[in-house]
Order: sequence, then structure tokens, then C-alpha cells
Amino acid sequence: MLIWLTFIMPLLALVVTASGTPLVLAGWISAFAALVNVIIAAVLAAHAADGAPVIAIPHWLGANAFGALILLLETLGALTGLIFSIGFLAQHGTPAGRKRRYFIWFNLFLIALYAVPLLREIALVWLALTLTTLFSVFLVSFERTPAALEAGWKYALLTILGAAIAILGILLLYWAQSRAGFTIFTWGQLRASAPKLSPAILNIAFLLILIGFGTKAALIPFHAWLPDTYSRAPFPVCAMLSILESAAIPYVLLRIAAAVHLAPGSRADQWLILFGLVSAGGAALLILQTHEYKRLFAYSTIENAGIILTAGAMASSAARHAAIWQIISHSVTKPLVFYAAGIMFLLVGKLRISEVRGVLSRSPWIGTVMMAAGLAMAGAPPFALFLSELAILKAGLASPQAWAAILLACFMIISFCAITFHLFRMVLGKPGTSEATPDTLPTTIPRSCIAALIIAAVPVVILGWYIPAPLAHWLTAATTSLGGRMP
Amino acid sequence: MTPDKIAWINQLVLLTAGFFLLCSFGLIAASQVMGCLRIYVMQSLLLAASAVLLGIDYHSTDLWIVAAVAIIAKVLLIPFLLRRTARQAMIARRELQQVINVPMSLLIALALTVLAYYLVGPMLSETSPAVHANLPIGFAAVLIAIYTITVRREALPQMLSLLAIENGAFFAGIAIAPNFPLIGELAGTFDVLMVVLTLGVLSTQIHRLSGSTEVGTLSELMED
Amino acid sequence: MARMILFNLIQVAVVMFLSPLAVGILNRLKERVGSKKGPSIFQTYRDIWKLFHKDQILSSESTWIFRATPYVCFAAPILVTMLIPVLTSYPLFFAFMGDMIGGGFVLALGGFFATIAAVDTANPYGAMGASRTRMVGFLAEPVFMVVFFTVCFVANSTIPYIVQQKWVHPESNFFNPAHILVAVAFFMLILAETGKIPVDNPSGHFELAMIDESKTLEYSGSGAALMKWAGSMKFFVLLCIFLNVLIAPWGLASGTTLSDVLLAIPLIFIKILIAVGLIVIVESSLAKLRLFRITAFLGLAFVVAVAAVLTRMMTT
Repeated sequence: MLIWLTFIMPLLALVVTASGTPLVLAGWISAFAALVNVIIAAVLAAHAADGAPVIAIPHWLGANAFGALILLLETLGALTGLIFSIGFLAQHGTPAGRKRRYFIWFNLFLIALYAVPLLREIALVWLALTLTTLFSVFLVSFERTPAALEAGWKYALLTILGAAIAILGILLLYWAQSRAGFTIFTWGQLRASAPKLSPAILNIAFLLILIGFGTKAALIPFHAWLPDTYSRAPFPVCAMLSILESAAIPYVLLRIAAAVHLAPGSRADQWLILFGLVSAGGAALLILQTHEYKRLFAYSTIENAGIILTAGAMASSAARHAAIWQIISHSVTKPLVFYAAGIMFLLVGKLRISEVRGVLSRSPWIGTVMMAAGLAMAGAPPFALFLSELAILKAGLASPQAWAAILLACFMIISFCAITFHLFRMVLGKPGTSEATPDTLPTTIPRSCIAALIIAAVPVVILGWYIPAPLAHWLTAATTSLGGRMP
Repeated sequence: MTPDKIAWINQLVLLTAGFFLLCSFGLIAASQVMGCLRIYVMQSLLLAASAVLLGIDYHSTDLWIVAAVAIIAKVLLIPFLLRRTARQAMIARRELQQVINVPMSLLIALALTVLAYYLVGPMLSETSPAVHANLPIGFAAVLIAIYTITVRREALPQMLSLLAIENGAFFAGIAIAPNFPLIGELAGTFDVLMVVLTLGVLSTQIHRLSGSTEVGTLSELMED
Repeated sequence: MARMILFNLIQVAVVMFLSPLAVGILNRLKERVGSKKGPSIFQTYRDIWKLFHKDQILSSESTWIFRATPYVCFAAPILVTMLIPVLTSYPLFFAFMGDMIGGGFVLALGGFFATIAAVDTANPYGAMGASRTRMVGFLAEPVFMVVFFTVCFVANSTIPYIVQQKWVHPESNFFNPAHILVAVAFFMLILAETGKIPVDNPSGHFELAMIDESKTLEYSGSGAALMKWAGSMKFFVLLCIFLNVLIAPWGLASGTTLSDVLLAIPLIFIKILIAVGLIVIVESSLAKLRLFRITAFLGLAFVVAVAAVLTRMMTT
């Protein structure tokens, strides 16, 4: 019932928005629906962590501990994203009809996003992931400028391309299963059948799935669409895409890998580590040379996805535990960064790093918030990512893949330096006289944006100090569901 | 079934596979948007034909439903939807530009076909003749279509190549996984229709805004 | 033995005397499709007859090559006729002289002479047409080779009489993709080699746009008649190879009596007519390609032929 409610809430919000309620009201109703979903997800996570998965329809719909945790992160992001959107749209000069469609697409996107961790049939998980792309295309191209449309086109084309490659991998996976005599294609069956599958098929299948979903997660070298998309999409949409890329897709990949690596002769773990390291390292270097702060955040998302995949594939359950922890802390941190940057954008109206100077002296509180959010993203204490990255390094160095952990540490340091370098250039310094604030920019920041910022900041700060006991329990349960015992 | 009948079906399965591969090549060589669409429709028809033949071969009614759905969605609905959403680009009768010229592209596509055989080779032990035909051809169709996307500059041919990838995947799929849950196949078809709608609308918006659908020339977002 | 020689001569006679009719029917049908009345189907015979009765004019710039070429071009298809199955499904007396590759060489020899003769006249259009023919030719060459390799790969033989049996034993072999694709590729080659749309426009009168026709512009009288006749025979022979070797041996005489062989003549001619109808459809529905798009057309033919090899590989 609860699982059904997860889908019904955004559907209701969708109907309300489409039926012509005033726009702000529709936005708040959507946000309220997301709030209900946060509570539902928390209850689901609590139930699922106690042992058996919560099942709505056997073989089709249900949530295990890991899935419920991902759902919780998605709903949290949706809540703050919707609240931020209300203020963001209020000062945006687009026609009302397009703003209404924004909320409609947003809710549709949420339905698809929630479906990813809740579906148990793998082919349907694939469908849900593809739908997230299709429903977010018009969110990405919301501005309707040629650049935004180009970004939307690249985004749609390349991620659907990835999905089409992934379906081939999924079909091969199913083939391997049916040749071993299994006919139900769910997560549980995949795990049960894995040791009997033919490694020749399994390896190609996993590689295709990894490339396919990796394109959607913008793993390097399949990241061609990502910088453009992030630089044109509205800030809340960027936040949601970040959660999709660094929580939902790693969830799918790690779950498939956890099953597939049980097969003798499987190379799933090596490939995950390879792609993870390339992504983390490549993204760290891309952060160094980027010119736009939204792209900087985008590259940071790739880096985190890479870190998560690498850690998740190490032969140590402590590393897997830390990987899921990293998923949590990144998914709460990245929205905060985008909201802070969104507010900063309202102040300065520029996207290029070189054109943004002295935010702190123009508006002390926005400068402070941006600085704090940026440091949180870079992985500085006392914020969430610091603890989880430390946990990854600690577990990684103790695992057989210590060399990978050492590399990860180097990449983390590079990206930390690069992010703080760009951040300091934006926040500190003196605002140049030539780039005085244009008249068109609003002088006041919408209240709902600030509200979203505050709500998003709470978990980042709390998780920077400790993990609350229930969350620690859920985290452990999620690790166990991936097949690792707790350290 | 008599051995004679099995031999017939096997030959026909092989034949559809051969023509399916040809359609992939045709998608590279076609010089007009309508031509691309016709080739795509033909390829979808071949997919359906292959599904019917394999349905007889494997005694699977699921595959017949797959064939029916493929015909309804890809042969009838997609051209209809495209004419509705992207009329401007559809009827434009001008020659398409390509990044790499056609003969060179065709040779690269041939190399990709050989690569596909090489990739699936290890998987083909102890399998039926249908798998021998459809799996490598489906793989090759996927690779060729990916290549086609990269050399095409116009919106609609890119999109049709995207759909051709999906066709290739399911062409392999109907042979290797005839019992694949029907819902999965339906999901794939639904996905294809959504892709057509979304990208069709998007390409129309691009056309309205920039006066052309040559997405390859859009380069406003190049990182400097 | 004597009977085999007789059959062989009948075969040659069929090619020599029916080929202008096939070309006449093709031209007439094309005009009819274009809503025109069109020339009589016997017009080609009349043209050849008329040309034989006219004086021949030779350019003072030309050499013996120009004079010898009509005879070489005329002899080449006749030689090939002796090698291939035109009426019978069993080898005749001269069939031992060469296989399909040998036949290909002989045909190519005729083409080679036609090309250098065109250059020999010092007429600028001739040289232009020759270079274009060579361009088409050297693009077509790899396709020919792959087609022959595929055929040999499937049939394990280069002898046309063995190949043709392979396609129908067992009957389901007819639908072997290698077979169909090879046939498609070869059909595209026929269009290119005999100067049909979309590669060349055989009824065009604009010298600058000609490919095949411009080579024979300088011939007059009996030379022109021989070239014209040779052209229609080459077309007929290629169709025979296509229909009898690469498609199926249906309609060929398998018995060794004279009546069997005579009965085969109308059957084969019906097959030829079907192919002619196909060519008319292609020629009427397509437009001539730009010169530099011809590479794409022949590239496609090449790909089709290689696809035939690949599909052959997957059946093993």
C-alpha cells in the first residue's frame, strides 16, 4: 500500500497542476506530495531494514533495504527541488503555460525516478530509467533558447543511445539465465541463478549494461552530453539529475554487479573499478580546466559516481558499506550546492567562473552559503562527504584493492584543490566595476529558495558529525542486501 | 515438424537476418529523410517477420504478439507520429550531409559487422541456428546504428538511427530470449513511441528556433 | 559429341539473334511506362541492318586499335556464351575452356578495348567517357570479385554448372541469404556495367553527361553496327549469368535431345523478359545519380556482396 502511495502522490500533484490550479499553489501541492513521500520512504526503509523486503506485487514491485534507502534520497531531493522551483519560477520571465508544464514534467520525472528502486523486474527498471530521460528532456530545455534546446537534444540522444545498448545487455543476461533454466527475471532470481550462468555471455552482458547505464550516468568516456546539459538546465533540475546519476544508477549497477560477480569467471568487479577510476580521475582533471561553475558541479557528480562504483566493487564489505554511505552523503550535498549556486546566480546573473567575483562582498550571506556548500561538495570537514570519503579510503586501503584506494585518494585531493581554487576565485576578491549587477536581476531572493536551501542543509550538517542510529541501521541493512556482512 | 520444414524456416530466418543487416547499411547510405524513414519501416517489418518465423520455430505465441506490436507501433504509428510532430523536417527534400562520405561509412560499417561477429563468437557454442543468425546480426545492427548517429548531422536521421539500435537489440532478443517477459518487449515498444514523440517535438522546436534541424552544426555549447 | 557442338552453336545463335530483341523490348517498355508510344521492339534489328549498309568513316588520327575494337567487342560475348549455361543445365562442348572467372576476363577484355579505342579517336568526349567508364569499372571490380568469391565459397566451385545446381538442392537453399544477396549485388552490377539508370542514362543524348555511349560516338557504318550488337549481346549474356547461374537453373534443358533444347529457348526468353521488366521498373522509378554518387551506389553493391559472405559464415 505504501509503495502504491509513492506513485499516487506525484500523480495527484500532476493532476492538480494540470487542472489549472494557481501555479504557486500547484507547486506547493507538489512539494507537499514529495514531503509525504519522504515520510513513506522513511517508513519503507525502516520496514525493509528489519529483514524481508516490502513487497507490493510479488516479482514486480517491492523495496528491499537498499532500494528503500535510494527512494528516501530521491524523495528528499524531490522535496527541496520542488520548493526551490517555486521561487525559481516566480522570478523567471517565461509564459505561465510553460511554467505549468514544468511542474507536470517534474512530477512525471519523479514517478519514473521513484520506480527505479521499487521495481523488481530488471527489464522494467530499464524502462523506468529510460523514462527518466524522456520526462526530463523538456525540463533540461526549459529555457527554450537555441543553446537549451541543443543541450536537451544531446542529452536525450546520448542517454537513449545508452539505454538501447543497455537493453541488449539485459537481453543477454536474460538469455544466460534462461539457458540455466531460470525463467523469472527479478533481482532475487538473478542472484540465485548467477553462479550457474555462462561467464562468456555474462561478461559481455555486464559490459553492455555498464556502458549503457554508464552513458546515462555520464561516466567518462561517455560523458559528452553532461557539461552542456548541466550548463543549460535549471538549477533544481541539475540537482535531480545529480541524484539520478550518483544514486539511482549506481544502485542499479551495484545490484547487478553484486549478483553477477557470484558467477565463476566474472569480470564485473574489475570493470566497475576500471570505469570508476577512469571517471573519478578524468572528472578531477576536468574540474581543473572548466570555465563554468555549473559544469564544475557536473564534473564533481561524475567524480562521485566514479568513487561510488569503485568502492562498491572492492572485495570488502566495509568498502561497500562506505560506498552506500557515499551515495547518501553525495545525494544530500549536491542539491544544496545547486541551490546555493542558483541563489548566487540570481545575484550575479553570470555562469562563467571568470565573470563572477567577490560574491562575499556583494552579499555576505550568499557568499558564506556558497562557500560552505562548495566546501561541503569538495569534501571538507565538517560536512557529510568528508566522513564518507574517509570511510571509503579507510576500507579501501584495508581491502585487496588498496592500489585503487590510493588512486582514489589522489583524485580526491586533486578535485578538492580544484574545487576550492575555483570557489575562492568566485566568492572572495573584489567585484569588478565592469560587471556591475544588471538592472534586470531581481533584488530580493524568493523565500521558497531560501527555505529549500535550509531544508537541504540540515542533513548535510548532521551527517557531517555523525550518522543517526536509524540511518546507520538502514545503511547496514542495505550493505547486507548487496551480499556483504557488516564489518 | 518435418526436417524439411525446419530447413525452410531456418533459411527464411537467415534471409530476414541478411536483409535486416542490409537495412542497417541502407540507413547509412540513404540520402533523404523520407528514405531513412522508409528503410527504418522496412527494418521493423523484417523484425516482425523474423519474430513470426521464430515463433513457429520455438512454438511461442509471445513472439507473434511481439510481431504484431512491432508492426502496429513501428510500421504504422511511428511514421504517423513523425508526420504529425516533425512535418517540416520530414518533407524537406534535400540531400543530407554526412561527416564522413557514404562509401567510407559503408566500409566502416562492414568492419563493424566483422567486429560484431568477433564479439559474439564466444557466445555461440551449442546454440540454435536462429541464434547464429540473429545474435551477430542484431549486434552488428546496434554497432552500425551507433556509428550512423555519430556521422549524421540532421535531427531526424539521428533519431531514426537511435530507433534502429533498439531494433537491433530486439532482433537479437527475439532469438536469444523468446520467453523474455512479454512486458519487457511491450516496455521497449512503449519506450520507442515515447522517444519518437519527445524527440519529434524537440526537433520541431529546434527547427522553429534556428530554422534548420542540422543539429550537427549546433555548437554553441563547445567548451573553449 | 557432335550434338554437344550443335547445342553450343544453337546457344550462340540464340544469344546473337535474340539479344537485339531483348534490348528492343526494354526500350519499348520504358517508353510505354513513360506514356509514350515508343519504337517497335524490332527497332534494334533495323538499326543494325541499316548501319551495316552504310559507309564507315575512320578518323585519320586513329590506329588499328580503333578498327579492331568492334571485332573484339563482338567476339567477347560470343566466347563467354560458350562457357556459360544459356540453354542447358549440363556443360556443353566448349564449357571446359574456362570457368566464371575466365568468362569475366573475356568480358573485361572487350570493355578494355572499347575504352582504349575511345581514347584512340582523339575525340575529347571519347576520352572523357573512357575515364568515366574506368571509374565505374574499377569501383565495380571489387564487387565482381566478392560476388565470385561468395559464389565459390557457397558452392565450393567456380564452374557455373555446379554453382547453379547448388542454389536449388535442397529447394530451401534458394532462400539462403548468401544466394539472395549475391543476386541483388549482381543485379546492381548489371545496371552499372551495361550503363543503365541510376548509373548512366542509356537514352541520353547529351555528350557531357554520357558515360557508356560516348565511347562509341566515333563509330559509323559496320563498326557502329557491331558495337551496338555487341552491347546488346553483352547485356543478354550478363542477364543469362544472372538468371541461370546466380538465380536458379529453372527453365534450362536437362535432357539431351534436340527438342528439349529447343523448348528451353522460349522458357529462357521468358526469364529474360522478367528481368527486363525489373530493369524497366528500376530505370523508370529512379533518377540518374550524380557522377560522384555512383561511388555510393557501387559501395552499396559491395556491402551487399560482403554481407552475403558474412551471412554465409553464420550458417557454418
